[in-house]
Amino acid sequence: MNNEKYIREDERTPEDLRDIRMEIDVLSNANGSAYIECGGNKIIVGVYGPREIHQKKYSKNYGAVLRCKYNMAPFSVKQRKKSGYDRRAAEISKLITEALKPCILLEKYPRSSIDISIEVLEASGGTRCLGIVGASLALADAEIPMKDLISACAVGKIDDHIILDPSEYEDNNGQADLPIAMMQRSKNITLLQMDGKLTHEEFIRGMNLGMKGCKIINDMQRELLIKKYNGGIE
Amino acid sequence: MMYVNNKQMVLPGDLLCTSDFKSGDGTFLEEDKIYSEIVGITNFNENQITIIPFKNKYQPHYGDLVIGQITSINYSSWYLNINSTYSGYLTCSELFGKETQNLKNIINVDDILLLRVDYVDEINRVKLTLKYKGLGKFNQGHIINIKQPTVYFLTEENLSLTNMIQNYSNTDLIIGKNGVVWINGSSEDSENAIIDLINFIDEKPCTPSRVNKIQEKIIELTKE
Repeated sequence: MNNEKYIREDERTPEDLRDIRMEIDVLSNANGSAYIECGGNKIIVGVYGPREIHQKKYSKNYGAVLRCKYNMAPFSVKQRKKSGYDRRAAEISKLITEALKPCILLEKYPRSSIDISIEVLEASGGTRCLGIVGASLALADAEIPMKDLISACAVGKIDDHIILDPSEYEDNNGQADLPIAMMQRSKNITLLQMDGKLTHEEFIRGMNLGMKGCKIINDMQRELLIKKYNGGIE
Repeated sequence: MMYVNNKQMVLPGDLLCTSDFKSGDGTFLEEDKIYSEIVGITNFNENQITIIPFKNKYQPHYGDLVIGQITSINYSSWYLNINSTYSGYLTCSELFGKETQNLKNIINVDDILLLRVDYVDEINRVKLTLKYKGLGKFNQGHIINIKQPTVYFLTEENLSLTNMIQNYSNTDLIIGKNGVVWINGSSEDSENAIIDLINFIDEKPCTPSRVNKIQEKIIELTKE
């Protein structure tokens, strides 16, 4: 496969990520928050918690309850989307909750809840991965104990080439889509989904490319956190 | 064996040291190695490592001096907000014996008290106590919130600074471990000056170079 000479529709090479801009501590009412811009995407994440739950039916004695809600604003897509919680949002909310659970130390906060709210203000391909990246930054901003920062990245296939970080055009006209989320230190994968068709060899190549992309995004997350506090004590 | 220096900034998941040290607040133990769980600054004691958070995350421990505000009254206890994820409770047996009394007449909602943490159980219920010398309800003074690095700076590293502030400006200053400070001055102006000074200290985590600036500020404010 001649991956080196293939130029994509937006003039990137197959292994280029789109430019990402990240910010944390953007909401004053939430305990932790993050804002991410990437390509045409604009996503804002707010974390509330850990807060004590007073109703006995929801609280657990052995740890905190993690609740995550993914929502797309009606003006986020080209054709106005009906506002409300639909099946796709319910599926992505469940996936993101399960992707974040292994890395949060929930046992340290019994009888409490951690609520994550991911709002997509403008969507352009790859919102669930950027939602996970933003949620991980917002959790670090809220000082919730975590084992590691989680980063996520998607891999696609278009015109028989394996590409990293598909844009909206490549997502809609592509042959496969493979979002991956992983914890960097232990190399544990917490989210792995696939749509479309990939041969075994293409799948292995796509996974390795996705893990490389996750490492680049993790370095950006760490750089942002260190810069925010100026490396600690001046 | 230490893998990072003292007073170095760390991120979640960073390797700190082997299990020769005891894992304190902000760290977790995995396979004989201690890792950081929050964004913060390392703080090595002789045998323990803790991480000081940058904002105001507070974990109650036995013996901490805290300043709390009453949020609700039950038939035999008060619930307090101690600036942490969990609220503390104060039983009425701390104050009187078996006679039934109306709790609202003694300590009412929105009162501010100085207490010590007595016991934190496995599901993180925080029991507070008033049975030590000097604890009780505040009748005057102002309350402000500060961040955890400032609490650490004023109570453990630079006790002389706190004494200096109290002597130079004739105000009383009590710093609660949960990030709440009580100030009581002889006049409104001196209280406002101290509040400005503490907000100045709170802006960034402190280094020795900043200590000199703070000392200069204290001396200049008492000249007014």
